Amino acid sequence: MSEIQDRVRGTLPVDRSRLDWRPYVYLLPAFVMIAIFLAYPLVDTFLLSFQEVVTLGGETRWVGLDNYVAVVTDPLFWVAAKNTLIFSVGMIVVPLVLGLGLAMAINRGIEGRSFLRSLIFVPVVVPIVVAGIVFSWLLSPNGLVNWLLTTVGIIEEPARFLNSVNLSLPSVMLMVVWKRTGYYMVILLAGLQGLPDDVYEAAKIMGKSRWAMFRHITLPLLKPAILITLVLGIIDTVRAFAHVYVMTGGGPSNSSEILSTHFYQVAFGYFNFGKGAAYGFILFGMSLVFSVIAIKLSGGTEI
Amino acid sequence: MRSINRRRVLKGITTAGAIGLAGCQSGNSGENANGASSGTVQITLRERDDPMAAYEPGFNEAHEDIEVTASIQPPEEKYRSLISEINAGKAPEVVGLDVIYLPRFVQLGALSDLGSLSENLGHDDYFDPLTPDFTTWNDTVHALPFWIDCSVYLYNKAHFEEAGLDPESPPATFQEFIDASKAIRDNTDYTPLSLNLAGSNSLGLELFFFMPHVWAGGGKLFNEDMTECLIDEQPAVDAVNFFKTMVEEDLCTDPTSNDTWTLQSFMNQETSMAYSAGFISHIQEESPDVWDNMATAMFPKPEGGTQSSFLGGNSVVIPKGVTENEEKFSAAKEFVRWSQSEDGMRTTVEDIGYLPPRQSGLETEFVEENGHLYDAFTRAMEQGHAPPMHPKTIEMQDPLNNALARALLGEQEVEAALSEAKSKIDTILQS
Repeated sequence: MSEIQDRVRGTLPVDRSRLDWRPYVYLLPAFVMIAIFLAYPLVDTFLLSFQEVVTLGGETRWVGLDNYVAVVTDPLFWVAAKNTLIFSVGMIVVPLVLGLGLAMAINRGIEGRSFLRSLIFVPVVVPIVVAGIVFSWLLSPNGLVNWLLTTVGIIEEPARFLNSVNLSLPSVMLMVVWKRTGYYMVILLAGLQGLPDDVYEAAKIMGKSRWAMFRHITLPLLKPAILITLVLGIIDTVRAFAHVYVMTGGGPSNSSEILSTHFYQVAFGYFNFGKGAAYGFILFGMSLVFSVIAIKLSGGTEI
Repeated sequence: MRSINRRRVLKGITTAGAIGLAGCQSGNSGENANGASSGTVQITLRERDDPMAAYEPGFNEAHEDIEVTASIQPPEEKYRSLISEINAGKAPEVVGLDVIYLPRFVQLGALSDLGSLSENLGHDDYFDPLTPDFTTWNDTVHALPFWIDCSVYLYNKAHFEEAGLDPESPPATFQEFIDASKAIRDNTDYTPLSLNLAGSNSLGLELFFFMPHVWAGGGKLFNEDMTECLIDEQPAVDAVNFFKTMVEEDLCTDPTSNDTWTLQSFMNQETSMAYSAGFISHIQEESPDVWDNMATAMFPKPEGGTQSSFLGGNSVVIPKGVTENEEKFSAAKEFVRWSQSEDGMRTTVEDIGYLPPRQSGLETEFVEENGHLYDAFTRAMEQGHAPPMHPKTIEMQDPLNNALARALLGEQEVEAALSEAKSKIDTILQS
């Protein structure tokens, strides 16, 4: 028994002649797969971001940082960056606030909470393309939303939600809020259910208000769960593609173009492989930097 | 719990793998999956739409020693996978390449030289704009015209009669078109025109439907050297103003809609006219009533101009790596030769529903029988323009599409929108 404990503590000297290779052999297929399907493409794409493809399957030319310069000097990159920032409100802020509110309501034990929890989670399992198509129908000039608004008399003529320079991005965000609120709610609900009751009881005895309990107990204790949703939200915002691609294609006139749809167009629409690779790494860097900033700002590293 | 015998599991996996690999086996030896006998050279044709699969039986019936298999992929997927395949040296032997993409693929060194094949064929009745635009880049022939698409408008003759218009004299000028549309709007329940010009999901339509109106007024997208964009000049301004009137007078469907399928409302008899491609044969089956009352006409022109059309479609190419396998390269060249023959063109026109590259392809009994539809197509082939052959044409569609959207949605003045498009396209041209 004590030998096992010593092994666990790592105090016994390792006998090289008896080294058990089996764990490494078992892990080998996973390492090989990671090397082939993750590491190699990543390194290859990184190298490609400093090259220009002269001929397919043949000649390439080193161009240094030219591809990165081409990306950041492209005016459309900054239009897409601004739109992505606005889009993040729909991807992160609104569903986070709504999700937290719903999670707290369900956690308080309201009637039919199991049903409500399932209902709110349903949009999460709807494929994004399907959700995009359904919302496109709902928001079309002949769609349900326009019918309701004109019937009630809020508007006289059907609105062009998806091909209006001003409304296209908010329309996509509407779908995104519908889809992500349940996702955040489940994460935050799990966090809420793990909070200790005695802290709240102590606060009640001290006569603290509900707002004070929320502000000084719930939010600080829920920080790891909120942090998870924030980081996932940032990564998903930078990666978001089908949301916009299906509903507006980035238009009209690039009014709903976000970084990922523009990246797709540069790499696979215009066949600018080097610039596309540089764009990909800029997006990768952005999600990394913003995630680290979110973690630092929240003052915690435990996710 | 029953224990698992590892040896048995491994044996099972090995057997399954062997069966799987056997299923993947291909080649020229023995009997193949399609029953072709040994000695048959197998090649693949990559195309973008299901109807193009008709080239497979068309070619195979005429050839005993070569078997072509049609591989159909939608455009976006098609070009993405094609690039990977060319990169890996595993490209299909024959590819139908959209002419818009042709210069970029040539620039990437992806296509074989078909100069000697073209010379040997010796056809001299290609429609004018197709050669050299659909074939030649830097004095080298990299492609031959395959199936041609052109832009025209369709109209419902019964609707015209209902509106008090002469169905045998479709409107030919901007003003006539607006007047006819107003007559339909005022005298019938139909929306006059089904149109999509600048939807964000319909990149390409700005060239296909809009540019013929610019060409009709003598305008151009670029100067001769392709160093400067000319889209801010008067013919383009006139063309946008024509469409703006159509929008403002409520004479057409939303031309900036994301719904790119303009024909549906025409086939449902909700609209009386529709801007369309040349692929219309499916209407006969899907909407026989409309087909019986339907006619085609060339796009309207400004006063004093010449009606025009956009000649698009696919060129037929052989990817560069194919030349390394002499047998396959010869078979691929035979397919290209066949595609230019009367037999190949008959497949294009009658079985698929597009237009042939050569004039003799339209001198058939089938075309004569359907003269009321093919007259406009024939004129379009004679008077139409090929797209500007520049490797960055794909990139330039976006600024033009956006400019049209802004102008037609009333977000920007026509001149300012076109000026902005010119500036952006100039930047792309000079980059």
